[in-house]
Amino acid sequence: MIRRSTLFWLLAAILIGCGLYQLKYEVQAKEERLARLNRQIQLEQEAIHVLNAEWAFLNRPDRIADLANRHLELSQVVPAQFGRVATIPERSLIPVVAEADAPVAPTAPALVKVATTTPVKPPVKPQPAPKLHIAEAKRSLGTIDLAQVRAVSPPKAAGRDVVVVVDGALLAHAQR
Amino acid sequence: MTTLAAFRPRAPRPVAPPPNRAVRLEGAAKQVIDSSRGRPTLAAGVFAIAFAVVGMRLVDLATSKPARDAREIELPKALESTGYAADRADIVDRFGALVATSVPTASLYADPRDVLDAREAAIRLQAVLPEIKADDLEARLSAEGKSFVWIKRNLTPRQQYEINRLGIPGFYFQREDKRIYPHGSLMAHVVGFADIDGKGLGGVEQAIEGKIKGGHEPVALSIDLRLQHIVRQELQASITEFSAIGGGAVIMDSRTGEILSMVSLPDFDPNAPGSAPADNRFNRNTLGVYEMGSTFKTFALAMALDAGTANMRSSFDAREPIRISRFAINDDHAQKRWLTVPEVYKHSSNIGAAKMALEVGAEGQKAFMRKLGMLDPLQLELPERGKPKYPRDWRPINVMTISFGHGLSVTPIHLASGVATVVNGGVLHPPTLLKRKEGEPIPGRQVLKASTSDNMRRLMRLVVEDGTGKKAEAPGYWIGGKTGTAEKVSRGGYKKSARLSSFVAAFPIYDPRYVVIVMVDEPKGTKKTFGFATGGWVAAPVVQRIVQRMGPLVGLPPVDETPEIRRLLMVDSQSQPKEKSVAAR
Repeated sequence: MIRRSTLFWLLAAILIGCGLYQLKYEVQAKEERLARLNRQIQLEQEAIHVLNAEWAFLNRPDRIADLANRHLELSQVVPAQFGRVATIPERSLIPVVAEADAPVAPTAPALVKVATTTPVKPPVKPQPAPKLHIAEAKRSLGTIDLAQVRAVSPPKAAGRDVVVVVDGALLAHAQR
Repeated sequence: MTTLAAFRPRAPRPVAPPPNRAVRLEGAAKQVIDSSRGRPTLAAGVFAIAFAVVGMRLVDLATSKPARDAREIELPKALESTGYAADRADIVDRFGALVATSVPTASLYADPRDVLDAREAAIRLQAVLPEIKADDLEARLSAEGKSFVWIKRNLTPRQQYEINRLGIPGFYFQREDKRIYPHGSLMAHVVGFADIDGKGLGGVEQAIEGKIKGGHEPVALSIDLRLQHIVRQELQASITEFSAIGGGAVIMDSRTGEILSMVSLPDFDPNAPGSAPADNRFNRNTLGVYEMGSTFKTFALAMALDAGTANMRSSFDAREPIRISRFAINDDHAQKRWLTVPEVYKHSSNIGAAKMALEVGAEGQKAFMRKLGMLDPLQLELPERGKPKYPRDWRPINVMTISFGHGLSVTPIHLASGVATVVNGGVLHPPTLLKRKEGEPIPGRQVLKASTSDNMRRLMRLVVEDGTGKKAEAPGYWIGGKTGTAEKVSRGGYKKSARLSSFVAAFPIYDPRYVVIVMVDEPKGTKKTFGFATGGWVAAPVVQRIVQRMGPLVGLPPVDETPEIRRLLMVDSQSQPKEKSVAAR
């Protein structure tokens, strides 16, 4: 009986001892890993700090201005470019009247579409159409697809400004 | 047992006594045996108690809170720092953009006792660091009794690598922080600079050394880097255009006293403060005191309106120059007639302003200037602070000259702070270069009547709409302001050719948010300005350009006139100047 319990305790002691050793080494390894990670974090933080300084250096306003001048086709905002949403006109349904030398009025399909979706109502009586200058707009806005032009404002009496409303309510403002 | 045994057959007597049969002894032997039995029991008891104590302690340790013993047990912990801990805290602008920071670098030093061959070491080192003289270095390395010699501070990583590769014994690296200013001269006069040992030697770096040194939280300035860039660019353009010797410009938030931009030109690169002439380190905005000229009429009028000696319909005789002893006070834009108060301001009449100031008197003027802080040394987070100059005896001639900005010298920050007070409803907020914390009350005290401020806003708008400041007009931004052209003092007199042209503005003037001050030192007229180099020709256009560029950035796009704006800025221009006896004396 005594022998059996002795054996049990001996075995338990050996097992616990081994377990303890195992645990100790594991903890030690973890501690080493922690120290390593801490050191790594420190290095990363240092690197971030230096990179922040570099970021600030690269974001110098004069450098950004220089880059913008060289690579962007943008210029200084002028007061005339500000507007309010309320002042943006509704999309005009006034048909664009082509001049004799201009191509066929490009807004026709849009109007037809409006007409077909509301066949019951009589088509809106077109208001007296202002004289619009497609040809002129085309000359100054050579790259815009005229099929998308919805309305063109008449040239101002004094200035030679032409405002073109393109699909998507984009306001193009051309100046000759 | 003995009795029963008699009736039983006698069992054979065992050879050995039964194992459980106790040996009975008598006498001295019994005593010895008894006491030797008691000892192990005693020892076992002692051990049992000891183990019980240990066991209890174990239970105690396992269950009790660790607070009492926390200090004794050092467990490795995860890193708690959130960033690189430099020897000086970062400085950032009001939106957190880095303005000054410290980066870790390696510095090279030598221990001469460990250097085997000074001559060879010096020559090999010179190959990597060409700026070091080999002979010089050899002498320093051979010095007796030294154990520490700096070779070069703040090496680049490449230099460090190459020196490491040389592998010369006796040379070591020391980690050091190097202060760098990514924006260079843009913020020069605001941040100042720190020396190689990390000690602030100018600007904010020096003024709040205690907060920066050893601090880990970035220090936020009130400056907006974007505005700083705009202001510097426009001011530099004007200085170049008019061949001026320098200039200064300030943008202040009129509701908080925060300085959003402060530029003094010429400036220097704080990364290499020694590379520019020492004069460039002079901060015109805070250290320089100037006679501001006509911009001071703003205060003369505010003073008279606030004291009640004049109102918006009062008029003053500006037909003849004022002659007092050997001086004559004349008008630059002479109208030679009676002028109403708005006209005095609009045409920048010295005569009118002088007469308005005389009605308030010397004591009143001095008290008013003191109230606006114009007589006190500048209070700002900078070591470079100017002290106003004013006459010891405040005589009538001084009253008159001070009314149009001569005889009292202040810094441009004084002026900006005063103008902010005049336009913001009459509350003086102390100027600051540090960002005010959100939610904290803004310090300030009411020094003018709100009605005075209301009238002054109308007058300032009038100057830009229809007066000497038309060149500052930026449609939709509602600038109000006042021009100033001061002749600079030189050898006991005033120099006509050396001028200080300035413009003070506030916008949007019907509800001011920002005060802008531009000052150009000794501009020369150009063909484009028909030879004029006055505040209206030189400084007003700079203000216009600055406002147009900053407006959209600070969320103030141009607005069209509304009936409300018209009501707020209306000046009763119908009233004709009326002669009155009191002003005609």
